[in-house]
Amino acid sequence: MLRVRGIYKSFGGIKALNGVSLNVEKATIIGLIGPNGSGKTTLFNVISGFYSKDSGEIYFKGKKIDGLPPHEVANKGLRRSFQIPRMAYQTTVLENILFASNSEGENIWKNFFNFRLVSKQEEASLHKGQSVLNMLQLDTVANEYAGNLSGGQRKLLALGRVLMANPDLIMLDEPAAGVNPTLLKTLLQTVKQLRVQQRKTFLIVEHNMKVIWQMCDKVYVLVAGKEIAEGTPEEIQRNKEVLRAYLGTEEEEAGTRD
Amino acid sequence: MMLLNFAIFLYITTAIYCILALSLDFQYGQAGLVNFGQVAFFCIGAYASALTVLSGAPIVMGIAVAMIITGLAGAIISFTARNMGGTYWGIATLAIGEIVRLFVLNEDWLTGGAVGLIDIPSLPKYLFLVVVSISLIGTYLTMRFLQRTPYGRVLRIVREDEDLSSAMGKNTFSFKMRAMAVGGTFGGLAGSLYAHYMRYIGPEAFFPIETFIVWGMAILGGKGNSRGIIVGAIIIQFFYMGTRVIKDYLPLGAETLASLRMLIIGLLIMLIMMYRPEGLFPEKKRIYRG
Amino acid sequence: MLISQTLLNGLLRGMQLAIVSVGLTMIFKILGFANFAHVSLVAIGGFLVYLFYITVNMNLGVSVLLACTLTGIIAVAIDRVVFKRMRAAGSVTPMIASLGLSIAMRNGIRAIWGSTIRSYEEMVSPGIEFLGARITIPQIWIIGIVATSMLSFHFLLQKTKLGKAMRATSDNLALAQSRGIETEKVIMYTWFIGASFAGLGGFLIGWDTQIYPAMGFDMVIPVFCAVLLGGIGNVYGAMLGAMVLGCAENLAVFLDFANIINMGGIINLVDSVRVPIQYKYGVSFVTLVIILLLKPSGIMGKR
Repeated sequence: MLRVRGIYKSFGGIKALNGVSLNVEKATIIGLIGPNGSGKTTLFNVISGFYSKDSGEIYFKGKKIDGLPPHEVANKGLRRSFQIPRMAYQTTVLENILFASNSEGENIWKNFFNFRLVSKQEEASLHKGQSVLNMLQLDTVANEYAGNLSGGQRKLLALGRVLMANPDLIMLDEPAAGVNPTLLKTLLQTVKQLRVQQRKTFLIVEHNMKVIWQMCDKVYVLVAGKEIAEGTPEEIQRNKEVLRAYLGTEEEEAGTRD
Repeated sequence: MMLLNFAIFLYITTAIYCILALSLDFQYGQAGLVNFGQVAFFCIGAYASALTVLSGAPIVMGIAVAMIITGLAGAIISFTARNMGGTYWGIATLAIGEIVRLFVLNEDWLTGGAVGLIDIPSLPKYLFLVVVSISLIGTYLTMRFLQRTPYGRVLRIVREDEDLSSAMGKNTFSFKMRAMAVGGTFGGLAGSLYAHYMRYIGPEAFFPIETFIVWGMAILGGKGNSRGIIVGAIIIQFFYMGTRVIKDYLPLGAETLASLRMLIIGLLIMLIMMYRPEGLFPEKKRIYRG
Repeated sequence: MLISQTLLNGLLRGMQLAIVSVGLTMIFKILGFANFAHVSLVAIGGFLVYLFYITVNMNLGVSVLLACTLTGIIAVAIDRVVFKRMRAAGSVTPMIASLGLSIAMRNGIRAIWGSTIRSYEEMVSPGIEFLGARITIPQIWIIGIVATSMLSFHFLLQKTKLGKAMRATSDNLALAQSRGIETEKVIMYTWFIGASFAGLGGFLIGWDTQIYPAMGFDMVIPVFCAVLLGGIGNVYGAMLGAMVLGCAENLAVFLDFANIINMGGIINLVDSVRVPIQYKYGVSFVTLVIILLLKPSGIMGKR
């Protein structure tokens, strides 16, 4: 589904990505871990089109997507969330959800000349939006300003927004950070459900190792802009090099975080 | 009779300012675009309509031509905003507004230069009143309608967070360009109504201060709230005209009064930004039912 | 008109723009917003000198010193009252507020003194001839005063503690704070210095030509243009940008571009292609839009 080949990216003199390559198969959940500053978010930004690459290639569903602007990448079926959840603070939760799906009504003329089509679509969107909110237990705050949500709720909103668009590949940037255990359970359950029921694919960056071990079919380890290991969670946990480079401290942190 | 004439004058000029303020607010309140050169659309609309009608076309056609030209102008100007943030956009539009005014001032083969255009055809007084009223109501309804569409919804979020909008698959530039086209179109409408009412236009009517007065109306009334905008426009316009009327009753010279008037408007803009930037009537929350 | 006169005019205009741009670019960088009221300080300086020199009949030197100091103090007061509360309000809100303030300031001046154009002397100084150009006594003073001011400012920036603090704050406010620099104090000094320069500029422009309430706002676009040319926050860039713009304005109306189009006389496509004199100030407007289209960080800006 997603093939990343040899991506290089520098900022000024700093090499953020040093020839990264990875593969994501359809209907799998892939984890991406690594110490801070190893380039995980940078890689997300390059894949989703927010940063331009210096060299390398990215193929999504067989087609080249490197060099495309972010909105075109998104419309091809690749959606991402942000490390710090983004939203329109001064807009309601429901509106934040609704705007995620593409609507005919975004064309000004269609609103005037094709009113019935647009209204039908709006109704359908509204239904879908409400069911997404129900699933994420956000229906009670549907008409609240998004800025009033708690941290965990914001993460769910970000997920909901991504779901509205019915993407094929979903990239989640630290979905568990700052989320309380109950909400986290809901979040993870939803992800698993989507993979099973709708054959959706996930690429997840996380520092919370428990989540990674629990959820992922395959894990890539990124250090200093290059993947140094790939394998199942068991393989990675046993990999001496990875343990040395990075996991030791992380597991301590993950242990104390509960 | 005098009072009736004055009332009509007040109504028409206020309506024109309302349309201008609504067209500005669509760019600022809905799209977050800081346009300090709105007067450029007003100016182009006025001249476009006047020239069209002076060459023999009916007034309705003049207005239509003006709106199309200013709509296109809005779209074209938005290309300059492509890479710019709010601050730069304010400075750039100010410069563009002045370029338009300089052009109008100097190219007398087209615009009459400093002398301007005179004897612009108009309509019988009461018919014109109807045209202005329809224009104002039409503008207001169009703005409200657009705000409720999916387009309006996306625009508001583009206003708040462009990166998020891109990540959600929206071509943010396309949304902003269309917002400027809408702002331009209705700015041109106001301009053409002005030209046919005053029956004379000259470059001295299109200084940057006009844009700033309209800004005062937009931010006083309420950024993003159409009803509020109209209230803001009425308040400022009545203040402006009111101080002209009582001029004879005050022991101040006309010049001093004019400067005091503008001083107060300037202070008002500053105070609103300091204490209540969302204006008198803040933007309403959109609730969906059923 | 000879090229030497054109260049002299360009130099003068450049210097006038430079002394005003320096203050604007500093505040733009440190506080993060475009201050439209900065140019109004030019008018205030010019009129204050008028007040002290003509109305109260004080010595010219004292008047200028007093006017500049007072302009600086006014700017600091404005920051305290208006802009300080908006430190965290983004870049658009204070910009719009500064717009309102600039309207208020120039109309305040107009309310007190009226729109009549005034000057400091009754007679225009005949000036002396120099390399084919005519230069007046005030103009000689302008070149001298601006050059001295800019050099002193350079000395302040590079060799004094305050200067170092100003540069650090301008580069990175948060970092400067973490290093223990009292940034609010630095901001106050920046306002004072920038405003005094602007006021001085007002006097100099008035001395060379005349003073009137909108004299500040009339230069708002050229000054922003100079700031953007040089890169926001870069005072040397602003000075350079101002000089470039001043010369560009004058050269644009002086040069016959037919020479370029006709490729130096090889072909004879057009007779004469000149920028009409009325578009002289349009040069900065167009330049501004072009810069913003291409590279908002300017020629010397940091990227």
